[in-house]
Amino acid sequence: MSTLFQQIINGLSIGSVYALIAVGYSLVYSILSFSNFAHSSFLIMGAYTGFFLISTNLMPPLLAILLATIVSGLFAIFIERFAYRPIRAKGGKSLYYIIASLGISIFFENFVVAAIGANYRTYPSLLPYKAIKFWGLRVSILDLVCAGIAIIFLILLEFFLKRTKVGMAIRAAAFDLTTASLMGVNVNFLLSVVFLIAGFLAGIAGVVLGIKYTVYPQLGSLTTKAFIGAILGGLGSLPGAIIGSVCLGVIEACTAAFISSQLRDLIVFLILIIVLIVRPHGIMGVYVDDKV
Amino acid sequence: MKRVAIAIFATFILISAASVYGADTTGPIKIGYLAHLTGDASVWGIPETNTAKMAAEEINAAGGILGRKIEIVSMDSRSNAADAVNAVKKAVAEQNIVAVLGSNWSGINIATSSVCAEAKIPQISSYATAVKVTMNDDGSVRPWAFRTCFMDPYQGKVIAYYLNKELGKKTAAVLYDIGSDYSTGLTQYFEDNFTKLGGKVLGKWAYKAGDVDFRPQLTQILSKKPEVLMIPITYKDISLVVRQARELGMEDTVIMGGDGASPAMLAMAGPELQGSYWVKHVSPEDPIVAGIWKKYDAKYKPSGEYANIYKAYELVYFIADIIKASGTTNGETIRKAIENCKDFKIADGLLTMDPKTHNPLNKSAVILQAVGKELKFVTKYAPVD
Repeated sequence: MSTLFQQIINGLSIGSVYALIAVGYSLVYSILSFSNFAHSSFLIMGAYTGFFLISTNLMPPLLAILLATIVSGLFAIFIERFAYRPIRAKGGKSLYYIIASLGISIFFENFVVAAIGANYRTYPSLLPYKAIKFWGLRVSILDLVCAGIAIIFLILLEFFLKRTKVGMAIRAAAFDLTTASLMGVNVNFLLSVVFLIAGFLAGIAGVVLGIKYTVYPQLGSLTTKAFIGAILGGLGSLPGAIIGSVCLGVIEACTAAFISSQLRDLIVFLILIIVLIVRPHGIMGVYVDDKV
Repeated sequence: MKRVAIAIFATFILISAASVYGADTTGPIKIGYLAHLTGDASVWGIPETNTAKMAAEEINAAGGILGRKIEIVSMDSRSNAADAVNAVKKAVAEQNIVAVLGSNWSGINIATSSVCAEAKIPQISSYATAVKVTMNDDGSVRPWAFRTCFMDPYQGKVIAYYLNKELGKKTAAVLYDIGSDYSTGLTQYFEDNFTKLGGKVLGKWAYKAGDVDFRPQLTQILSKKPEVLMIPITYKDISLVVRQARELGMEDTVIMGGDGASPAMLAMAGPELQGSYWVKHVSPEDPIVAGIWKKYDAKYKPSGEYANIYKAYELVYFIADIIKASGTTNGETIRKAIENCKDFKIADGLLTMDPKTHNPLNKSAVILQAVGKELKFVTKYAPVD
């Protein structure tokens, strides 16, 4: 029995990082209706910036982490400005966005390999690699801190979307971008804010992943799992992204543990396919015809 | 029009034929070195390539071979089979290489073996340990593929015997990479031998390359309470697995694995790896190995991969001596010379090649242990029944 609870804790810890990534994915999807695969580049940007700032001891770690997330947020704005805005100006379909985002993610991963190198880099140990024990279960201190960071950022995001004017504009744009722009919302500014937030969340996820699993150019490939979490929860829905990701983490852990570690991905993806057949809009998603 | 096309085509054929055969007897003798210069395996590939160039410089300073200089043509596998095949094809077509040395990954050498066979040039791997590197599934030998290190069946036996007979361990669990020839093979050979000795493998858990969280598998392993965690995987995964295993409470479990280990992992999980055991091919305390290692560290950015440095050095001298003894760079003659090596002098002793398997005879293994920031030599070990 205690193994089951331990596996749920393992799953929650894996899922909480997926959630941080998936929320950014979903936010962009809810407005532009395309899957932004360049999200992995934002994540790598955050992971490497955080690594260099912390390992060079230029500033206190917390400040370094904050700065890393800001850098990846600005990077996201940069990508939006120079890759997506031209497509939007020409009235491109969502397919063009997807191709552009795929191109960016492949380009950026290889750029990192060429410019920085493919070596694994380990964050200086900020926290002891220890676990808190209770009732025969173990929860890693690192996981608790990471989950804490994830929760704080998600609450801040919720507050921002619900209580501020820009947040309201974002929700309106998510409902209908064209109508929102007719109502006097500055779409370009709004999208910059959305990408800033998405980059911010990807950056913090990058730092968390870097601390937990070391930094390397292919770290961004974990966003695939977060993407699946977002689909499971319902693309475009933020609570859905969180619930879907956490569910995915727990399902993965329990499948590997109790069914078969060899067949884990096979079973997890089978579940995903079944969910999509039974509930095409995911657990909490809004129904849309044009799902990617 | 047709005639013009034929004429152009014929000229093209003549030119390319001339470039292949024309360069055969003048200029430097070109030897390809296949290694991972980008990707996670570059910790091994970069030292191997540097060492190969260092050895070639030494040979050239001493007058070269057959009155010609030798030149190392570096080929980057980029840590994957598809890029390795392209790199070898390119070097064969454009550089007229006479042999391929490296790499240290089985999957890559299995993929490139057909390219070398087609071009009729021998390939000698550095540390590709899977059986299939030199032999086909039906047991017949791949004529152009060789190695001068031990194989995974032997390595699996060493791990099983050392754990059972020397450390007295009776129960073990294995966590392996399901997508790797090396890892799945070594798991099987370990289990066969460990069971034969009366030990018990309590379970085998798999993961897929690219995974970073192993706690679901490790939690299950922990619940079986094995005395040993055997991890036949490579260093980045080792460091993450061991860190997570210790964190979950696997404090006293003995950890052991094969030659996928690297001192680089001690920078990633130093405290958690202390006391773990690893199998390697040569000892850092062997004066010949240590001498080459020291030469390397004086010339290049110091590296802890002494075994790969030693091997690249051995291979370049080996192929140079073979070509010298053969008196030609003809592929078939060199291939025969390697195949029939008997007590042939190489850097650290004598090499005898088994013509039926293209594997060396009598290669022993060394056991290393993680102590402080290094993998320290424990003992030279050959399992005895």
